[in-house]
Amino acid sequence: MNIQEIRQLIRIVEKSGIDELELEEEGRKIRIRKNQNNVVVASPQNGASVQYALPPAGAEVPPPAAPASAPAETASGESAADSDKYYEVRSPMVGTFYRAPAPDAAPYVEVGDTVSPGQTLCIIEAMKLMNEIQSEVSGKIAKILVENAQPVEYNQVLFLIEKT
Amino acid sequence: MKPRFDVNHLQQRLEAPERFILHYFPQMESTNSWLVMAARNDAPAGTVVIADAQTAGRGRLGRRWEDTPGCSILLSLLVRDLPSKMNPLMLTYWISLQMADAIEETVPGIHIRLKWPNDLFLRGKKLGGILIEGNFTANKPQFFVIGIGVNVNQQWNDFPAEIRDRAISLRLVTGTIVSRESIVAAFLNRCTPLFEPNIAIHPPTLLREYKKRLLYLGEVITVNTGKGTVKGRLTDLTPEGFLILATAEGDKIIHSGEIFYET
Repeated sequence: MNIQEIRQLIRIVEKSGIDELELEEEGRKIRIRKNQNNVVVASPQNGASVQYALPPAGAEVPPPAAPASAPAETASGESAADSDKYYEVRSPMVGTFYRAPAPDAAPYVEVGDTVSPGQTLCIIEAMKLMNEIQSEVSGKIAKILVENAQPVEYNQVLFLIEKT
Repeated sequence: MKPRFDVNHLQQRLEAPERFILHYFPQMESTNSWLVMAARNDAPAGTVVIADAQTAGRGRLGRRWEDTPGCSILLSLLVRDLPSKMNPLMLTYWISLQMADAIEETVPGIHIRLKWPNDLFLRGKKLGGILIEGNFTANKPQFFVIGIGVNVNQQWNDFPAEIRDRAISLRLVTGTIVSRESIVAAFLNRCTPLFEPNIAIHPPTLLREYKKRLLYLGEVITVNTGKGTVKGRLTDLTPEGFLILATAEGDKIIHSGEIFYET
């Protein structure tokens, strides 16, 4: 189970009527418990726990402050290596992914393009809120993981940028 | 010759003028584009830009917003840090409600309704629209530019023929010239809480207020999602504010698209 899946579980628990979810997979046990104001992710195996503040009902789930400290991260050595090489650009909200500012306009970026911090990569639209997503890093666009005009989930990886 | 927007008149009517920095242009490409550029160059929250005419006004995905010089409210407002309980999607609803209230306060006796997600409707026709452009870096919002267009003093022949049966202005309803400055002042006065970090926003209450004005609630509509159309009964909104359509294949949740009402 990777951090992405844990995040999905948190969202499922958060939106559900259940207070607690415990599951075991390949000897790794995870318990997600809904507090009054917090969702607690606890891995009893090593005692580490990460708290995710729950936003008010209807709010977007904020990005966890330090996902790297989650115990599940170590489960995938490959993703750790990838994250050294690639910077992941994620969607800040549920919406529709657009690669260009208008249907007849050229895409903001193509695979192989060099980008710099502050450069616009795409637009995520939801409810006529058009959100420009800017690069935080310098690098080369290695992968564009979503097709134009496709729906995206919160925190879904949109681009991989090869750091320079 | 239509009178220019009177920025001094607006300034005098603001309850908290120190919150806003007002810019006026007789004509510009787009108030939103200008303010997005200004925001990238560190313009402060509360910067407002107003124009009498736009040569490249934008709607959703680059669609043109029709306007006749001097007739419309064409305004953009810059917001940086949202109040703690306001998420970006709620901002769309909150702004729509403030503008609806501001118009009704200025023009008594009319009832503004909202077409999901953010068009202002009057008597079944489009009175205005809102386009919010957000800017995110590393999942953190940097700023939001709130763009608003409202048809105020157009007469029928001010509208292009192809939209005449779907558009309306306040003047067409009241029969008299309506003060754009008064509406903008009422709107900005309602927006001052946006700059207070601890404004009490209760999303369920906000959604309830929004639903009171929502067009087509309970009716069968068709939504063009950009990838195709979905037809169903608009039964409710999700807690996030997305549309719930009851279709032949069950409930579908729609987070972006254009509603077409079919009778």
